[in-house]
Amino acid sequence: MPLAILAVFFTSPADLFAQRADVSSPGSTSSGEFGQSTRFDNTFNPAISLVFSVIADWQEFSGGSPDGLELELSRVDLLLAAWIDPNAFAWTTIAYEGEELELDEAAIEYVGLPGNHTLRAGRFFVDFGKQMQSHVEELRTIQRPLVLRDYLGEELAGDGLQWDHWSSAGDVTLLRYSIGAFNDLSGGGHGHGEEGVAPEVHVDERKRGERLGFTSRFTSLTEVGSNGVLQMGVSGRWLNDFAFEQESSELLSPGLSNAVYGADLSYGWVSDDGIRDWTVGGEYLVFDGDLSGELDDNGTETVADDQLVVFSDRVAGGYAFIDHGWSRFDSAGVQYSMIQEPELGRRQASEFDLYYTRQLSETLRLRIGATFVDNEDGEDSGRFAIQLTGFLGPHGHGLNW
Amino acid sequence: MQNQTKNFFAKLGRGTLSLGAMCFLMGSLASAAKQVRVVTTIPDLADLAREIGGEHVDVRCLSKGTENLHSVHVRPSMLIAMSKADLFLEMGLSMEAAWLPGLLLKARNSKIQPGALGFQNCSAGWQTIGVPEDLSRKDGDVHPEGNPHFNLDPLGGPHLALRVHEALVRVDKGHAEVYGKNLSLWQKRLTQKQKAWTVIAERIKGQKIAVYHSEYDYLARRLGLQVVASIESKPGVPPGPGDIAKVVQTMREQKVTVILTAAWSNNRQVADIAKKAGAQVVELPNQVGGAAWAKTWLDLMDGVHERLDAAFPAKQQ
Repeated sequence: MPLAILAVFFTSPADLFAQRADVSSPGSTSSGEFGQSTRFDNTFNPAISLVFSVIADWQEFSGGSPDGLELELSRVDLLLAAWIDPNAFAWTTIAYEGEELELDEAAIEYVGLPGNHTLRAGRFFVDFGKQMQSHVEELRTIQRPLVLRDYLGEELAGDGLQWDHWSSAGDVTLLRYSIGAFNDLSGGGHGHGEEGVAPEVHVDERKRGERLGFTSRFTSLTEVGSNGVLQMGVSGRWLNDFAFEQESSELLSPGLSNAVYGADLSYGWVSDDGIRDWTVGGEYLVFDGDLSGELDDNGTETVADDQLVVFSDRVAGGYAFIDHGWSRFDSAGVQYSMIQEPELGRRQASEFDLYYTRQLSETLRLRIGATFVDNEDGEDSGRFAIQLTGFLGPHGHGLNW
Repeated sequence: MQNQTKNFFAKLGRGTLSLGAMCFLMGSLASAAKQVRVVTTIPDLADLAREIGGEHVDVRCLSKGTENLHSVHVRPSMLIAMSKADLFLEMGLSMEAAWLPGLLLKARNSKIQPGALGFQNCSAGWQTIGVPEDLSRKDGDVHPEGNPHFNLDPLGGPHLALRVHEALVRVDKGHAEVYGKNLSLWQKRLTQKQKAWTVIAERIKGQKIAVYHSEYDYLARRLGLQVVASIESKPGVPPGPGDIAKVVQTMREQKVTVILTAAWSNNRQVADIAKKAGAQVVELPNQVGGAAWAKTWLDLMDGVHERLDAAFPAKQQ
């Protein structure tokens, strides 16, 4: 068998490697075409796109936080996408946000499996609920709902594998499920307290299989009459082995785990001419397990008696929205999101969003939003924001519904 | 003995009935199985596939005749239909680019992927107009391969019919003769209609019109109408107050009395412009099914010509 593999390898007409010596060197990979006409040819290069989002906002807090106006280049996404071969495509998203450049996604999707199975590998936004696969600039609102930010993180990218399958039930109903295994699914993590003092989430690079992070989603999408679509779904995210770590005190609370379970329901109606639409929906999440950590200094300045306190609890939250589009270019909506804070006492916070979106063209969008936060645990706040988002080039790598 | 005989015949009767029902069911299934499952992006192609395919095709259209083809809302049944299709017919020229590629990919149906026997780009061989010299978004939602709305060209239908026929013969050679016959019959009806359309075209030739979007360019060119103003200054970009003022001024100066618009355009704005410029609005469907009277492509063309003819009464006198 190994000989057969070697035979195939050496008789393959195309070289399998991109990097190679110009002269065949014993022991190194041989030269070949690798599907390109020349090594500097652009023909097969990927599609490139850029999304930029600029925000001007006024924020006011009830406590001591500074109020005022800010003008910010809030986010830039550079996306490269291309087919690798007839059965696989790949994409990379590099995001600039908060003065940092980060590799958000770099993944391959293999579509050569029989039936409607798909395999995705690499780093990508995991399949949880209605929003977590999307980059924030693709959403209806300026920011993700409070409950998703708090329980799952601003974005939930994982390094791993995801298997996906869709099927139909009758002529108007689609069913889909996905299962994912990831090395790290900590998202934003949950440390509470002052910045720099709060414990960080730590995930081991290597671990036993059952200690990986897992995700799963099952959803159905069905037509209601000739103008409506109803979607129902359930999702789960399991983080099976992580630690809270306090670098300054060298404290570590290992062997922690938590899970987030979600159920979503949404209904969309579109007029016959496709101009007017109504969408209502919501998602309910339960966050269970080791939810957050805090540094307890025992009231002394001595580091020796510091200890990490881990809060294990079950809390819940959700969001609901209603959105109306009355022309090809205008839509508006409201969204309400609330959470129980993942700490003892289950203090609550809620967020109310009002937003209006004007599509200046198919590739330039203006959004005006107002957000009010009511926080039992901290400051209340209000924010008025204007966002301008531009889409340059063939943006998008496709999302699962 | 008599009872036994009676029972025997009763059983035989029931058995025969069951067998008959099964045969009927199997016959129906076999007939359905023989039909070519055709999926089309627009109702014009669906109409032509039904005309040419006749009883040998089962046709499903993805979009509604009233929808904006650049932004069709993809529904679950579309993906299911695509996954089972034997033949897929698209307009091409990026008309469906905003929603179709993802649907094709997700359908995972190798029979209808680009390059396969069951995939047909019906714009193949069509001479496009409005091909942009410079591919830049500063010119709005431009289509790199040119204006895709050629189904509204009186010669667009015959072109599409040929492409549909070609595709049907390719995937179902067994019924090639029937498809050829059906195409000939349709072409004969078309020839009859074209005589009337030519008379109307002669009558309205040279009239000046304004449009909201560039979907009537082929139609206007074929009928000899002059498009002197477009309310969208750039395709896909909603007009600002300056654009509207300019359109109104141009219409007054050029004595434009007709604005052509589709159902999905901003027709409140169009009505306002028409009022200011002293013109009338003629709302035309931009595809089959876009109005109650446009049930087939031939009906669509009949209705379009009739309405344009009625819109320019002065020249008739």
